[in-house]
Amino acid sequence: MFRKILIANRGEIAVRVMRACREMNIHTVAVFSDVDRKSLHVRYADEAYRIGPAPSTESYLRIDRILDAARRSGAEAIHPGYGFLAENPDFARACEDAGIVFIGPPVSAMELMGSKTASRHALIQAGLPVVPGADRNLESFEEVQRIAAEIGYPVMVKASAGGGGKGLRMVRAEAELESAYRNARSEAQNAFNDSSIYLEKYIEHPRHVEIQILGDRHGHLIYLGERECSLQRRHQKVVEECPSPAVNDDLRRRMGETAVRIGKLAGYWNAGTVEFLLDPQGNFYFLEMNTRLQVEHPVTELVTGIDLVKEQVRIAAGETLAWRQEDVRMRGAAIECRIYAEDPANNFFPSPGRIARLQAPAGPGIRRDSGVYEGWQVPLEYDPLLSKIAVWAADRTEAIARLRRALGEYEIQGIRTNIPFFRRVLEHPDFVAGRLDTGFIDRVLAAGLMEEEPPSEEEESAALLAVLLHVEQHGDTAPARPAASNGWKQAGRRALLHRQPQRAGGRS
Amino acid sequence: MKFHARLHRGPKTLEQELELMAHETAHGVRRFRIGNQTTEAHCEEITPGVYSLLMNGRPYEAYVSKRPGDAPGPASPYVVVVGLRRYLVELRDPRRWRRTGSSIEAEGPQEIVAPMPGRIVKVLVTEGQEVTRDQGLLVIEAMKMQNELRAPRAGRVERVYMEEGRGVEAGARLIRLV
Repeated sequence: MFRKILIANRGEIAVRVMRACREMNIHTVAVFSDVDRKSLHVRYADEAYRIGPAPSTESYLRIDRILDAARRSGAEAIHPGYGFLAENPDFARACEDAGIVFIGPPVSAMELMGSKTASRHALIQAGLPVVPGADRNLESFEEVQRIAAEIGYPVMVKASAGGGGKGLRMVRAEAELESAYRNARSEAQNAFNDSSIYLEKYIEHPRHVEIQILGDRHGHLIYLGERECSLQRRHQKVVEECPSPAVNDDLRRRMGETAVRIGKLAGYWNAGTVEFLLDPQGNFYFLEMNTRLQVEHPVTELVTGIDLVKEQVRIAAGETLAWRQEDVRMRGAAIECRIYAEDPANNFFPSPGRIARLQAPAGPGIRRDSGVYEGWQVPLEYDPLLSKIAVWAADRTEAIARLRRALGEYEIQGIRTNIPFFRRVLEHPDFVAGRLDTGFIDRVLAAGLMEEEPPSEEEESAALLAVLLHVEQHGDTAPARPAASNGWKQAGRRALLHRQPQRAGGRS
Repeated sequence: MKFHARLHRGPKTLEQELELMAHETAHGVRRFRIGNQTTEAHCEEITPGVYSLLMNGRPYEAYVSKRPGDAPGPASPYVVVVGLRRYLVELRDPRRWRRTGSSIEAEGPQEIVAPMPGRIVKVLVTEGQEVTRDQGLLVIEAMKMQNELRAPRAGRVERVYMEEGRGVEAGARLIRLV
């Protein structure tokens, strides 16, 4: 087993991976950009190295600097988390060349699955279910037009290098095709420096259901059930759950076995996720494969009891999978929501800034994966994901009630978050009934569910009274703002007061 | 302690005279007057800016802060969060209260500024164009996300200061709305 692992990421996922390492008695190495010096992952790690200025192209995407940090620290393996370099085969190859183990799948599998058209093509050849459409990049508008007519409208124009909803256009009729084609191409060119596109049939009212797979380097590959991720805003998942309310044992087995076949086709090992669209008739189609740990992995962990990060590390170290398919049992239900620094009352505009107050939920069945703390400044430069709240309960109904309670306890002040939005989603009768599809969030927003009920007169009185008390207590001072005093002085004073001998060597 | 107060929540405004009596009527119990209604509440400060209030046995927790950039003290408005709702409270000493409208209402020419550093991806309006409230004005990319800035009220776009593709700092003027 490894003695030291570098985590080439930041925020909640870096902390999540380090937690697994610490439980496995493996030393952790953080890397950080200039704006992340005070971030939680840096404070949590056993060692930390600066890798550059704030822009990710100058820091978290710099393969050379990350490998330098790995060599300096003597890390034997690198966990990429998700995002940044996690699905970059060049990074995996560079790690291999440097004699450092990349905790993820083989380069060949990353390359095959990284190209949406190549993976589609391979699946079609193997007779596996994909959304009807083109099986290669389309070179001209005439070709796009012809294939669209063949598969029938509505169609999706998609960027081959796509992700995160970029370079994606839905087309209802031929008249809209040309402008969608041009827009998707230019967006793909800007976002991925690759304007190649292809076409797929648009599946109406689909669910997004994905299968977690796990495989070792010795040919064992299993599936760990599904995650329902139909609740998406602008093609970004916001609420995920396991199991899916639409999947029964038979469908789970069929989807799981298909996912394992896809993994075998790609020569896959480590953790991966096969995403499917599930139509209202119960047909499922391959969408794409994510060759990394997913943001929403905690719901699978809660329901199966398997720690995916630890399994990733064991697999990378060459161990044989400790689980056979028949050992995998799903118990209860788990739901997660992603807490973002964004303002649901203002078109979900990002809301960076200082977290003036933070009260985290606790109690039975609650798991919080967070990368933030009270007093920390949320930087502008990165994805605004602050934390994830996942709950486990005996069944879905109890899980929803528990998640509502957790969000009611969660207080973040100083910046805006999407917590009020979740509380409303969780009350929606369609959500409660499990009637979900990928258009759910847009419909909810369009229906004006964000309108809040008017407050009671008593609450308004409470708001006014609080201001009076505040003025009385603090007058012209503003205690809710960052303390103006010098942190070094305070630390010095504390050190003088306590005069405790410093422990050498940090946390281990 | 006596004030004139304006309480704003979304588009709604409530204007009242406020008074907090100086002494506790019982341990932890304060008496206060809103308009002509006098009430009592059990008040505790949990941590600076956070108040636990018991009103007729019902608990409220209020968090009082300032908007970023505003000066401390009662001269600038307070932001109060109670549960899921946010209020903006303006206080004026009753002797100095001017009846000339509030500093918060969106009247007169208004400069739309960048809320954070970013890049202008798209300008959705042209100079001279009439816009409605909440109409998209431009798209700015920040924190890896594209976001639409919307009109805070109806009006006419007098100037567009920025062209597409430009990087902007927080507070940069983008659009002048009249």
